[in-house]
Amino acid sequence: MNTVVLIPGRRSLRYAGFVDSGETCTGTIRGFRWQGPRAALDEVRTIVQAMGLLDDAPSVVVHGLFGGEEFPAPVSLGKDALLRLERVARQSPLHVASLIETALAVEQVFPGAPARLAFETSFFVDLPLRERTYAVSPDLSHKLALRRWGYHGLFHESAAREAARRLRKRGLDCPPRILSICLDAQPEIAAVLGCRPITVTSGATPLEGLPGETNSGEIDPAVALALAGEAGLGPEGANALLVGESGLSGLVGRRVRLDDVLTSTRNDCVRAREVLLYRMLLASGAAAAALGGVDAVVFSGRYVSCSAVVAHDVLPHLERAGALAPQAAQWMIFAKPLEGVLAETASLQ
Amino acid sequence: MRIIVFNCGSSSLKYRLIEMPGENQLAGGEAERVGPKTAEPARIHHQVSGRKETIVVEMPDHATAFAEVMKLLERDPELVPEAIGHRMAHGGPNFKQHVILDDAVMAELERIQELAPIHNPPAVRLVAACRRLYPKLPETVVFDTVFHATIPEVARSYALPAALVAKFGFRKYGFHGTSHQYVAQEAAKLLGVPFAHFNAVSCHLGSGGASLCAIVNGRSIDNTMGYSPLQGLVMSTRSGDLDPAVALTLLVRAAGNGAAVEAMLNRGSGVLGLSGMSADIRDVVARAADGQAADIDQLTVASQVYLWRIRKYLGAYLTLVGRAHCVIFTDTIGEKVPYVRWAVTAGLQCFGLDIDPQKNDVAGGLPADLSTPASRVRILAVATNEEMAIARFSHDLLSHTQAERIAL
Repeated sequence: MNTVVLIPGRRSLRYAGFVDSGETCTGTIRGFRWQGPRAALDEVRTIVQAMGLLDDAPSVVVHGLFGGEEFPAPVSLGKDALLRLERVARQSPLHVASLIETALAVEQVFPGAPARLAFETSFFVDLPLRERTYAVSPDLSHKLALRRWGYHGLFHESAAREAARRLRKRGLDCPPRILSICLDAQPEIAAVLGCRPITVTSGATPLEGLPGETNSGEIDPAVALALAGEAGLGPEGANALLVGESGLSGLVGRRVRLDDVLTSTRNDCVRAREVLLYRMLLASGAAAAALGGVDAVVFSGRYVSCSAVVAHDVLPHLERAGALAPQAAQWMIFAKPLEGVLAETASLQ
Repeated sequence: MRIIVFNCGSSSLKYRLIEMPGENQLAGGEAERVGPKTAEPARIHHQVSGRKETIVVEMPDHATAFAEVMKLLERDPELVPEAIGHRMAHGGPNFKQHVILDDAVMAELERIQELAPIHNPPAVRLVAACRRLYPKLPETVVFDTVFHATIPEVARSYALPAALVAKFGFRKYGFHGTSHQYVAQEAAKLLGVPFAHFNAVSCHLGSGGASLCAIVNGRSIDNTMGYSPLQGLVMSTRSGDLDPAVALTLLVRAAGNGAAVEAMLNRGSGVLGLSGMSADIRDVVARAADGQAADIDQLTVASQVYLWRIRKYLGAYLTLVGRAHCVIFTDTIGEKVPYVRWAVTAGLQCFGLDIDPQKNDVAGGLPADLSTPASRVRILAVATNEEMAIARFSHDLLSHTQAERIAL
């Protein structure tokens, strides 16, 4: 079966073409936001057509960051899905509006192709109440649709499933306690029991949690208010600073990627690396407490090649505290890229 | 040396007169409803050697309350203080030790008081009043943040641009340090471990504020509170950790009124916000356990969220500490609510914690060891005594020169 995977971002559109499960082409269309999704998808169509992917009616899978509680699983793209997207648009206006535009363009550019939407948040729809609830009044939570989400659910779910499969093969016959570490531009750690997430570091938005390439991650809420007030940035300015100028780049003082920070020998990256690894250590310990111990550690994400740096720093601490089962010291890598994970959802139709 | 220790709240003044170094408590009490008139009159509950009395007296400010307390003590020449020890919530970036008050200290206290706008200003006003009314009495200032001065840079840094941090001083300070240090020292004594080699996680669970502290070699290496006491655990009326984007969304909804949002997050959230019925987790747990309440789902969620946050931080800090000697529970909830201690430690055998349900339920006299003999990490309940800790620090400061203290 041929599959075309589309990952719309803020400025660009990533795409990949698959014949059966093998990737045949992959790339990025720049200026996606500027030229609009229709023009970008026309370009993708031309490319995949040249690769022969349209000869056999392909499936199309579109990546969505946020689907809210409306989308606990991938769905077929159609009138019903679009209506449901409109219902969640209020909760994540920028992402969902862009996704709706892309979805409409997919229907025009790939008419008749079975298309699906797959969301990062679906895996976390059933996050336990104690984990997903903030300590504010239920009225306020309801009004703002306020709750914790994870934003790398596709990686966590696939990586945890793969880890569980390997553990079963080794003879573990109870639901495995998995520490899932996603190394991406905005890294995220989840505790997964069997196939169900128990904790996740991100929050109502991807801003909370571990520091990312430009995201501050967790800070005292009083600091956010002080940035808006005393520092004179206002709420929008403070948000822009926390999302776009902080995190690892803010610590280093120049724009950096996560893999730069984790592997660079440059002095200016040392502090950022230490802060990131420290926060990962705390998040891993919290996840271990949530699970009551860890049977397996699995890494995934765009920068999965940097797993060893994190593993060598964090896992000995878990081991020393006693929270790591002996076999878990042999951490696992789930190396499949996001495009491949999404392509799999097409085969699940 | 008779040291009077003052613990200043926004509308109260707690005091204890302690004979040092014998640690005998000679007198104590609390001035209530200090400040503008309220529905009930201001009064002082005063206690000497088990004899209690209540004195109704107008106390429009902390200076008057202080003067009234001193009048009560001066009725007996054996109770006249020889030194004053003050508790100060926030020491800012420069106070890395507790100090003897002088002009320079006073100036710095005034300069940094807005770092803790609820707690520091009344305490600073009290210090000033004491100096004015009793200029010959030596005074010390003991900071809640000093124990956390050893938190390493990696743990106290927020991932923010360096220029911004330099300009506004955004960093983790940590609070409840006096209590964490006191109970840790008591626990180390109990276990027979030299404090310089003592590792633990201390859980200060108050009926108001709450924080956990990771301690390695007798030093604080992390605390769940942050730049302010808002960050961290779910507290009686404070939200604790919250997505910063949510704080900013609330600010937009409040039309930029930061004070309103701070009030909502500091005084209308936490256990009170979640439960809608009480700021005290004991009330919420009891009503949820009763099973008859109409709002049982809401109460169950409130208690679960409160407990879950403690459990996660406990795991985080046990991982950080490595081989902990013990986990310590202290302050009102930590000392008196067995269910909370059980709920946050049960099932953590992987971390070496094995709580004994029977010992936990009947723990009366403190300190108490609540763990089974098999527990690799001891689980202790230790009564906190911040006033005694302040008296110890004050006596130490006033009895030794700086060179002697360093040598000690």
